[in-house]
Amino acid sequence: MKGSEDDRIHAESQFTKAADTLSTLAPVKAPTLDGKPVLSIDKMRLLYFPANQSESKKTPLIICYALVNRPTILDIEPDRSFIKGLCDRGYDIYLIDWGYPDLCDRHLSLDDYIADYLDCVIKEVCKRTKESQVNLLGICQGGVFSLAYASLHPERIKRLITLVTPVDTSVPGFTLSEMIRETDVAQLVNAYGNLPGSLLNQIYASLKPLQLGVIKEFTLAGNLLSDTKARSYLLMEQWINDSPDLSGQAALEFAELFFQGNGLVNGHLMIEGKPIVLSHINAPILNIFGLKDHLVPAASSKALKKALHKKTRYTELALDAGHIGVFISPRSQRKVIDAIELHLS
Amino acid sequence: MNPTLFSQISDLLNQLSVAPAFSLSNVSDSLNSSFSNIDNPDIKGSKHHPDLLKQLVRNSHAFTQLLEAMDDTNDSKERRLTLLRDHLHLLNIESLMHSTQVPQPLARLLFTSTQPIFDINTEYADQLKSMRDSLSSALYQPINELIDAVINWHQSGHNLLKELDKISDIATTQWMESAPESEPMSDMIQRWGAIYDQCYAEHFEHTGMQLTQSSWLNHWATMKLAWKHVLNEYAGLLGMPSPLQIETLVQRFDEQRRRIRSLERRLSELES
Repeated sequence: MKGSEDDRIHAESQFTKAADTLSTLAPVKAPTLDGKPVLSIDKMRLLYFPANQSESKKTPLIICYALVNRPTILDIEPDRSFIKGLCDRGYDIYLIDWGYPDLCDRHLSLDDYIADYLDCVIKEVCKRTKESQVNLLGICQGGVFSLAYASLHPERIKRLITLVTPVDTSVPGFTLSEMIRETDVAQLVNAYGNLPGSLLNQIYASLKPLQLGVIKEFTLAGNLLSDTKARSYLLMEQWINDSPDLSGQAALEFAELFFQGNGLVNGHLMIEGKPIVLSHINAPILNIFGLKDHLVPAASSKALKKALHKKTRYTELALDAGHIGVFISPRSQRKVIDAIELHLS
Repeated sequence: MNPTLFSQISDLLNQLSVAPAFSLSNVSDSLNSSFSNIDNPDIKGSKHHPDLLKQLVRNSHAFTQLLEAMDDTNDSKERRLTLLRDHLHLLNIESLMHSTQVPQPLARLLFTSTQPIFDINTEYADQLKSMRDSLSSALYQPINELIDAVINWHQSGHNLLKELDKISDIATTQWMESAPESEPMSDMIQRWGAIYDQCYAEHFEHTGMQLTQSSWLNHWATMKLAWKHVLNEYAGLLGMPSPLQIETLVQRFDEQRRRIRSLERRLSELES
């Protein structure tokens, strides 16, 4: 079988190259965030990244990341840093780092995250910049938080950007939502307290169980062929495994109200007793999503348009990329930053 | 018949308990020397990434074993697929043996299960039931609840395996239909992974799969809760704080935190 022989020679050569790479590869430090802390409440920190141009754009941009996974992905390496890309275009960036919830944070709820922490962040940035409004960029679950906030306080948001954000959880092909649909999350939270990051990682990996599991192991050598490749691979793996636990109460509310109740579409999501109504948002919205996103299918994000008021200015950007590739892959990242610049101008 | 989840767990735990040495035997001659050289001080090791190097060796070893097996056969496409799946399953088991996180990641084994499973391991379930029946005193009620939870989780795992068998059948049919006469192994592996994952995602559209998968997770949670109940009951006897006492303390701490936050917010409003 000629094909197998060729494969074997290829595998041998890849193994040798990969082993050579590892023999000289320096330690790869876990990604960190180098922004200046300007606000701290409980475990939440607000980090400031100043614009890399002498004259920064007037209205600051706040980035609201998800509770799951760490925002370090936004500044993972200098040459593919999403934050650096935005700072280079003259934006002052404020990034919310939610921190690592522990046992004492088991009762933190969506009210705490949105009506307290996010609200304080927006007021603090307005105070620091002497502006009455901010631009808000929400990523994935952070996009849901941003939509919720913008519907409760439309007057505080000048422009809104949602990146790979789930909206309609009932669309076909939304495997994560289908997994949660019949799950007794209250029982899981009772059992665990906070939902462990390791459990969440396993759930994400089981969305594509072979490709993200055993086949990834088989193709490991291909990711270690050079120092640059190996370094990027290791940084990415460190980020994937650096998953904070999810506060029990917030996890329960998000699963039941947002996922199971399709909260943004049916109005079941409540913050401080008030329903989130997307048609209340009046800031112009740029909605960016990936056509190859296996975590949040494009159809779920696209549903935002239908939920908004007809008069709300809505633009969308669909990219041929996956959930993280949308803002990390160099080709997509440039398009995303161009679109953001245009939207905020 | 493929071993059920619980016999897989037992087997794995047995193997882990004897701490198997990393074996490099049965590998093709050409690569055998390369792999062996990793332990040779004359050959470069990896000062900063020794674990990753071991993982690379293990995976490359498994991969070449698969290529060897493929070389030895001119069999049908179906036989090639069976070989591929057997080897993926072996690699999965090997990876788990090197993982310290047991048993939660054992779920991964479900996805590479290679043959249909129709019978529950009744012997194991019977052993558990008889253990439960022998603990009739009220003092043992928490333990009996835990045993029930284990039996239910076992059953739900078995149900999930049956659903995954259906996915494998569909994926196999699709794979056979799309397989070219000759194809590099690496393409074959990628194609199997992509087809299986696509079938798996499509199967999740059905309520049956959603219920079965959730039932497995729900029973897992019930099992953990039953274990917590056991600790609650017996921690006091051992002079240790129970999970319930710790939870009450956390709740009080949270109430304090809320009062402080509320005061901080009020002060902040007054300042502005």
